[in-house]
Amino acid sequence: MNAKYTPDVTIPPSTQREGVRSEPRWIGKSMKRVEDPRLLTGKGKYIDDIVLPNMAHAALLRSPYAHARIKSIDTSRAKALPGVIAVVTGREMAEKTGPTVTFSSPPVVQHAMAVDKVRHVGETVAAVVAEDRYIAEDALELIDVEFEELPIVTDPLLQAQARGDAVLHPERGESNVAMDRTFTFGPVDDDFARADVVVRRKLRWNRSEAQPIETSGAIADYDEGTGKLTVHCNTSMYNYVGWLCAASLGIPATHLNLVPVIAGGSFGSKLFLHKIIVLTASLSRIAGRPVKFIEDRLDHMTAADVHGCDRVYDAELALKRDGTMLALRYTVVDDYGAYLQYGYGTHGNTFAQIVGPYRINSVQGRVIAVLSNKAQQGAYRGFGSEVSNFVIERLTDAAARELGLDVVEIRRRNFIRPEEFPYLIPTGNLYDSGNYEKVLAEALRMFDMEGWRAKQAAARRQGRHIGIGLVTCQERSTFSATEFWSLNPPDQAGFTLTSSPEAVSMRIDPTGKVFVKLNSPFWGNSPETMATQIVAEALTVEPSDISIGYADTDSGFNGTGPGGSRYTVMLAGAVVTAVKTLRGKLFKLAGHMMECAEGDLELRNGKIGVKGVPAMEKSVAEVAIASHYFRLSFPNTPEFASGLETTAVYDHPLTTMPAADRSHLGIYYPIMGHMAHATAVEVDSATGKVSILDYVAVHDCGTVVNPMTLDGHVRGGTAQGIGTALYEHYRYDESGQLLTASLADYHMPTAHEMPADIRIGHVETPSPFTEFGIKGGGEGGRMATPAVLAQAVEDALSPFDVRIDEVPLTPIRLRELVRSAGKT
Amino acid sequence: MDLRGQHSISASQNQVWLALNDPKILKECITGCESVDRTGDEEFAVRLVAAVGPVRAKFQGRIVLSDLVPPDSYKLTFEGQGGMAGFAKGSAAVDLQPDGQGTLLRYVATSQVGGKLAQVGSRLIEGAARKVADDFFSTFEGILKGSDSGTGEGRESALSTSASVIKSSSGTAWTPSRVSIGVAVLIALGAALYWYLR
Repeated sequence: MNAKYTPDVTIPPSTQREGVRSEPRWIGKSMKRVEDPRLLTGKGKYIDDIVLPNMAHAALLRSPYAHARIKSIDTSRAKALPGVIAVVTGREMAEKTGPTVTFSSPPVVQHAMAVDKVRHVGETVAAVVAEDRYIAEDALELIDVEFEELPIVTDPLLQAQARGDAVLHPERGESNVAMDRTFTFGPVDDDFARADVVVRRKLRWNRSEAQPIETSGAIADYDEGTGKLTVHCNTSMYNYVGWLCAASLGIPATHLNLVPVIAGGSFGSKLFLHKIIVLTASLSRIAGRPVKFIEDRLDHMTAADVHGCDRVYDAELALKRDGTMLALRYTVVDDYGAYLQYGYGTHGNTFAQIVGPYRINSVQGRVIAVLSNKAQQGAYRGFGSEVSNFVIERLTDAAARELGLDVVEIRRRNFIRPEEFPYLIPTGNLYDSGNYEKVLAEALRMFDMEGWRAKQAAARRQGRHIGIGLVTCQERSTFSATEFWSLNPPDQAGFTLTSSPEAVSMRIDPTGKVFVKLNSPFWGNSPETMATQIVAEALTVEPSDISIGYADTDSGFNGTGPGGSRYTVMLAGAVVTAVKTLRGKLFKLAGHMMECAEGDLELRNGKIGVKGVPAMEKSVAEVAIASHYFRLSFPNTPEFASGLETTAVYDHPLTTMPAADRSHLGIYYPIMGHMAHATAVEVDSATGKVSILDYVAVHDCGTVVNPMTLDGHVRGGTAQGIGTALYEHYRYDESGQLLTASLADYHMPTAHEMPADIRIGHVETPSPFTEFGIKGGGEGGRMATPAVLAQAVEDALSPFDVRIDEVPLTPIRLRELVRSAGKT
Repeated sequence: MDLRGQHSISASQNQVWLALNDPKILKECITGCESVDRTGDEEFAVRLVAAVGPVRAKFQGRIVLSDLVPPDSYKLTFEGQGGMAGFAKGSAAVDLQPDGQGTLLRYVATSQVGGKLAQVGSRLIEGAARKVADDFFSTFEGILKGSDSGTGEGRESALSTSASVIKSSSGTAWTPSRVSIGVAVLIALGAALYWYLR
């Protein structure tokens, strides 16, 4: 027996201040959402509801070609149309506005509007600003563009051979391969050498994309008097990218204020929105009017820069005959599209949980990132890890098949055991805590495996095909910062940031009400509800005494924003710090008022009282009004200065640096959730239709703040996972045309395709590193659904002996598999 | 992609050839064609309105002829810009030959559409193109039958056909060109699209 490989990573001590509460009053309660009343009554004030005086509207001319030089643009006819205020080409915009932010290094240069060359269908060629959107759209018809088509390579596996004019970014190299690096974590060769069996699969994960009901939009307002731009936008990470947008615009950060607007869903698609911010700001500056632009669905689908992963895997898993997993080795080609805004972050993300919940000793991944004439990838719920979950689970299923093991048993045998946490995986990332057996047991308790096997057998006798699936997957949460650059060449690592802070400002007014300012927006999650429950818990006040608002970049502090299932954990950290500060001052004031030592005081039910003396207490309101209006009641020293206010920042609880040689990537995504999904499906072998008969999802996201809102994340993520697994596919043809650019052709699951009920279970294994033991759960079901549906469909079609190696499993693909099995 | 098609027309090759040269007949048979202007010896500018599902656009196109072997075969390329709707491109090799009592029109073509036509219309192109092609041939055959039955309209048509014969016998390049335009429009925005995505 070889010794377990452990990367050379030192685990920092925990900075947790608040452990799991024995009798929580608000944490763990399914409190109704604070956000709901205004959203459900149609009073939410989304970007489209904002109307500024004198506001003009923009429409964008989009390239019909996938790859072409722009030889000339004649805007004279468009400018002559009554109601048109300005017509701007990419080259004209570039006179004052520089490239947009990118994490790629060396950078892949992208402008908010194409300059001289278009690299994918839908890329913006020119913009019209007009009195209304109708006129703007009409004017687009009057812009005459002369394109010179350039050759394109469409097969991701052939981008290495692209040369000459087929190369998208010649300054970055002679082909369309952006990166080809092999990352080795542990003794992979030795582990493969001692394996009894190696299973190998070639797997294909096709492109899908988040489809929020509301698309992205911005309204920019240039003040010619001050030179300042104010941009209202439904972006997610405004405090993170505001200054970078200012840099693109060539102005100091003092001259750009980003005002957050609630978003009608994001799922990753509104992460930065730097392009739309820079574009509208630039247009407003040129037009001298407030300018509004909001994507229509076609804009969103062809050019929002948020397509999901597009990967081809050749992957091998080495095992002992008894099913013990030893090592994972793979080559992945990822078709990133025309640009590379987030660098190779989605593969950094993948490495955070690349061994799944299993004791895999070593990993080698060759990552080949290619550029192509497609829309570029962005973020979509999972950010790459949903794909590796699919790969790990498919290999595990293949191994079970090869070794004649039960799919549940092979997983159980390889689980990291509860006593092994915190557990360093070969890549250097840490799994903070977990109890995978317990999650599995709960899933098996809820899902009637034996009953479904019996139904499956009965159905088979009738010639019907029921299939059963069960997978166990990781859900890393609380993203840090290093994954954005750790896979870049070490000598060209780019902007090697190591922070991803989150701040809150908290103030108690003279009446004892608590005002909380967040530095991240609402994007369809429940930030106000989370903040309310955590503040109420920590400060012992009532939710009705708490008001939540959002800072803009002018007034805001550090904020990274939601994404990577981080916000609740980070918010809790900032709230704990803020409450600690305010509690200290409340105790100081109350101690003076009640003539007792601060150390004898405690918070109880919104009051500051003397421990063990129920009668001696002052309400927060009594102390607050004294602090605001009765200065002479207190000593004339600075610590009694009027008012109760603090701004608190919380840094990522557990991040360490990657090794200089990248033999490990350090700890960067350690707050590790886990899930077991089980399903029963029926496949109609004659039509290829898949019906979901039963679906159980058990999640362990540590301490749950609000089971109801977490259930929403799980259900929504599962719905999106069903779409990715069965229906959604951005299909480009050989000339780079996007053939599925409307919801008529890009099929999304509706109520009809969803299971009647997604039955949800919770297990709580608290994190020892976060406040209250909370873990993130925002990416929900999408992390496991494609994997479990692939297994279930393969099981259903076992009489045909088919192998499911690709998603989506459209009826056409399933029919092809059944036909090729020779049993139509 | 390669596209192939053939249509059997119940009229002699000569009748088909001549009818295809009749501007009035072409105008009746090809919906949406607004104008055809000669811009060179073997080059024409075409304007027409095309609608595919939700995408409706005015196309400005260019047709270039090559490899003319009157009256049997030729090649053509077509390129059309539909503004916001995108573009359509096509090239085709066409030939006519006798087929018993009738005539066989055959073509081999490649075509490509881009922009909104591809993004929004791709699923609808087949149906739209089928209709364009069916309409063309049913109208075309109806007119030929009408001329056989000797109605007034048919006689007018026959007269203009006679005029065509006179013109063609004088040996101008007008005849194959007119045929080419008719087939080009048909193929580039009709029958060719029918095969798109098949």
